[in-house]
Amino acid sequence: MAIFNKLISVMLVCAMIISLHFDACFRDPRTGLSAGKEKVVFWTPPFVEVQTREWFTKWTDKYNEENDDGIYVELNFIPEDAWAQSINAARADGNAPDLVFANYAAVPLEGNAGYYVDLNEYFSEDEWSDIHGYVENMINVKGTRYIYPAFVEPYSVLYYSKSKFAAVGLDPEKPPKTWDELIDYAERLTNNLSGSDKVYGIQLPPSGQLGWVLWGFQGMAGSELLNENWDTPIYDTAFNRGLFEMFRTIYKNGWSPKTSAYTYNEINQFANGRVAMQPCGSWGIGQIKNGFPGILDDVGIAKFPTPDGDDGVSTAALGGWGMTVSTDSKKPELAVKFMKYLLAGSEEIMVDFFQGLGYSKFSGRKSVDAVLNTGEYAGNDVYSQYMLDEILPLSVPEPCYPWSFSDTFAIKLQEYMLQSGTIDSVMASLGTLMRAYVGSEETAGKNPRKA
Amino acid sequence: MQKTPTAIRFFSARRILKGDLIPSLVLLLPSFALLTVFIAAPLGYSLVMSLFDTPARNELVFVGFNTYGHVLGDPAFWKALLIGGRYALVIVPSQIIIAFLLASLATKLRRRFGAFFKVAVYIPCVLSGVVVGVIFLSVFQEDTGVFNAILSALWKPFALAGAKPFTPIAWLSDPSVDWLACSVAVVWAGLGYTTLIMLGGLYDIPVDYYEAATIDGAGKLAKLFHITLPGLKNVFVYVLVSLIVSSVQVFEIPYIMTGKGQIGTTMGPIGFLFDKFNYDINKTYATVASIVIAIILALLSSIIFRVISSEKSEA
Repeated sequence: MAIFNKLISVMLVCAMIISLHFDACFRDPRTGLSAGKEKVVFWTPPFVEVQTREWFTKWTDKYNEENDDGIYVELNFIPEDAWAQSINAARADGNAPDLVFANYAAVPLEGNAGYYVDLNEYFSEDEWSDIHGYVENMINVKGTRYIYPAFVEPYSVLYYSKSKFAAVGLDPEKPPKTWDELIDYAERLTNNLSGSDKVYGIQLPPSGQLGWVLWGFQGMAGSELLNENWDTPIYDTAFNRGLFEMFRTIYKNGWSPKTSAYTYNEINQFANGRVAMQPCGSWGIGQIKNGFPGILDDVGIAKFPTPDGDDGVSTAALGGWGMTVSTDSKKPELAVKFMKYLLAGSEEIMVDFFQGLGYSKFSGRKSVDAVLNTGEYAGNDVYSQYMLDEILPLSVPEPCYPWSFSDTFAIKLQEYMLQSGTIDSVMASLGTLMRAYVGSEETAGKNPRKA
Repeated sequence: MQKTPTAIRFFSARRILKGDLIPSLVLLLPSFALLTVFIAAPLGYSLVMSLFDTPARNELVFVGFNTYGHVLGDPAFWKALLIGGRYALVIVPSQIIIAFLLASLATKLRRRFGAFFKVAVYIPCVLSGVVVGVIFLSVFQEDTGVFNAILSALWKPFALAGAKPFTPIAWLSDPSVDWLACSVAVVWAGLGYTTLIMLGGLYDIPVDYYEAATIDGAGKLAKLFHITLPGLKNVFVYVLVSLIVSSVQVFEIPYIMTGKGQIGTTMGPIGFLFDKFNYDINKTYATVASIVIAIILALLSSIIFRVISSEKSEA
């Protein structure tokens, strides 16, 4: 009897193993991918806005239903805090996804290192001529183009509450233009706004994102952290010393919350009324329109203040994302077909994207802009038009040097903010670290954008 | 009569024919295979690859020990190691002392309550580092955290007596205390395991020693210093080495609670490696840094073993 029971148990286990094997082999559990279609794997971060995820899902599903290219696109949202290790692990395995949604800043070095396909093989010059000049500057790496643009988004834009300005005697139509005014406004708002919950004057960017948020200041600074040949760090300047002092003054005096439950990408601290001013990307106004429509009438936007109020100086970096094809892809021509459908095809698809995000991001394509900037869409949107007219034209491309430089600069800024060292000692240690990275990362002569 | 050398005796035909050598080797084979495939082979490959640069995909450039020089000359690398050392300075003595006290208490508890006590102490060990990090992320929140609420309540009598009101401490963002908050979480998470090891060591001390000491008129302190602590020497050696190595390498809990810390004050060596692997295009740097860290920890362990030797190990 005992032997019989053991025999039954063994047979049941074998049956389970066999059925699982067959199930895995012949059925895609998530999507029902049928035999005969070629699978194209597409990875993208999920982004903060749910509307972005909805857009990706909607048009990918539509493509999968309707296309006669014999392609099935498997859309994967990879969380942003797991993005770097996921993509690195996939590349180490030689198994990177066919399509990767990438940030413009990361692409030149990664493309030159052999991770992305040159899209010039798949797009004609006529197709590329639809791209705006300021976007072409970001995606063209000495003639090679690794990325097709989806959108651009300048940062930082200063969001402020008009009613809170009025409550402390500030003119709601006159946002701060200089750093001294920004500090003054932050002090007055923090010390004079009353209520059951404390309200701060401004939300300084949280530490986790400061490394790339500070790129928004490089246009004002007039230089990146490395010279054009990438062999000499540029860090100890009057501009950077002033920047460090401004952050420290605001932080030490308690005019910004010391912690935030939200990232720089999220406008929530401002929208929830915890702060009267918040620098955020252009996408912030879209988050307000979609998530906090009740406060929209109270929201003012402005260029981020400059040291002396100079209007002709850049106040933002031009961020953005696009699509790339991995060199690991066994079927790049199929991957490009979906890329062309989603980003380079019918204007309707991209207009749907920008409309869903409240016109808080901007197209890289002239043909899409021709549709978008009409009265039916963004043409009458005051926030979008302000950013298009005042902020975007002067925005500078994000730098593409190795991350260590940006990260170290941000850490040293925070050291100065949080601790009591002198600016000279902080600059000295910053210089030591940056010169070490020039050596260890062997950056000299490797600037992919150098003429 | 001359004795045959041990190795020859081991591999003698008689021993092989007797049949216990081959089954022993067969039984050990899976472990050796796993160790080879998942530890020895990747380690060997890493050592070889550490001598090359990978400036681009599928491109290998021999650079010798050049990358080792960069790692050893990187102030950020040494800063991360010092932070790991700082974790060890707090976590190791805290865990050893608290675990010893809990284990001593457990030996005195009655059966049912003793069993419940041991389970309760061990439960944090079964939680993943991520879960522990999330728990303590809320415990140490500046405005809404339990810890600040307890401190505020304890300070109330002083505030009522005229002292300044309690200011919530930014445990997770103040670089002078964020690493302490992470250390508390790590101690809590690992306490159960250390306590059980200590408990095993305490049970291993013959009861006769205590009886004899009692007969000789020894008090509690005398028993502690002359019987209990010497009897736990081997356990202390194991706990000390394993705790130092694990404390220096602590990563998940600080990462969940603080990221890298506002100015990198919670980022130990593993966090440093994690960052380098994620963001450097040339992965050799992370490979070399991991080898250097492994060598440093191995040296540290061997020093501890030499300094704290036991009679049993010398026997």
